[in-house]
Amino acid sequence: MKANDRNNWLQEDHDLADEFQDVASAWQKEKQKVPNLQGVLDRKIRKFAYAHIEDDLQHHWLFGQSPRLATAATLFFAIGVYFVFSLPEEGRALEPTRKVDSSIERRQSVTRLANQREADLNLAREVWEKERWEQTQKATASGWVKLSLIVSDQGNIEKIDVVESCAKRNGHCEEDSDLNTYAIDVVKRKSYKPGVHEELILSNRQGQPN
Amino acid sequence: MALALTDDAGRYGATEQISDDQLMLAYRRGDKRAFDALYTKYKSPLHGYLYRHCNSETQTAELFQDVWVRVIASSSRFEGSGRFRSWIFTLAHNCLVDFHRKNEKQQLHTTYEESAGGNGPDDEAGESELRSALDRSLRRLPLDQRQAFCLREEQGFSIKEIAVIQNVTAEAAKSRLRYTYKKLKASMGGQRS
Repeated sequence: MKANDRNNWLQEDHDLADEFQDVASAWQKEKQKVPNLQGVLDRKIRKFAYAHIEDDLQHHWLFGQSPRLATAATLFFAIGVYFVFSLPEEGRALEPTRKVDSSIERRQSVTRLANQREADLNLAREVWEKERWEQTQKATASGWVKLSLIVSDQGNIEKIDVVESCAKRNGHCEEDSDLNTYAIDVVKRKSYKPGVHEELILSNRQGQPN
Repeated sequence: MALALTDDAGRYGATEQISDDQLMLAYRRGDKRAFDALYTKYKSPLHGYLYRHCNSETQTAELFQDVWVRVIASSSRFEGSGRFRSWIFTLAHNCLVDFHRKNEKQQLHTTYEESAGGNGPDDEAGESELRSALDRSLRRLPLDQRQAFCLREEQGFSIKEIAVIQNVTAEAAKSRLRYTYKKLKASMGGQRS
């Protein structure tokens, strides 16, 4: 309240008191007529007031003599509800676990992909190395035979096929049965692990096996 | 408005002044003596105020108890902004309004005339008549005007404070008071003539 406003109202109070002073004086005598308060009511109110604060303190969730289970349960429930509703809409309480799980899965997937890729690269490198070696050998040799063979679990050669054969004559490749027979004999003398294999047998001289 | 702090015996003595607000806050913290101090201080003014608006002592006692129950029950919400006195009379005002709404059909001020006929035998005849006329005139007025008058003349509230208690503007409170005074003055004049 502004000082000016307060002063105005103080003045109003004074003016009113002055104007009706006679009424006020007459009324002052009337005040005596109020009967005394009953003692019973007095005691009743005091008792209620004492009981109220005792009850308040008794049931105070922290300072009470025995904080009740219901209070504790309510508190935990409220915290739970708050926690659930404070999370984003999707997933609610499961969200943190899902986040961790998906992170682990993503990392494992990346590792798996990296391993696979490395393995693929190694295989490709091996194939490429082999092909390059074969090309180099073919380019320098006077003749060659490429064979495919199947080796049994016992290490015996079960089948030999000539995949490709080249006996160079006048700069051209020709089929040469002697060269093929020679290549098959060479393979038969060698030992292989079980499985399917390919073997390249070279001849250094023109028309003659190596 | 202030009371005294406790003396060596634990009673509220006269060594240091503490406010009603502090007493109420002390009661909230579990101090029974603080409540005793407040109750002792306000029981008579409150009882007198309520009595002016009721037919009988029974009704007054009922209202008086109702007000204190509200004070006790609302103690946890009391903020202690330096207005305990206004606050308790606001509760009393609300109790009276509720009470009169419930008993609207009974028309308390008319039945009062039947019950309030007798005055003390020691009173002088003229004074007694004057008081009765004033009292009767007051009780014929609407509740809000009666309240405004009692708050001012018996409890010493200012116009602004009455406005706060009755939840009206200061202008409205002043208008109510002025109307009440004029009515009472007229009834005094009629009695004397």
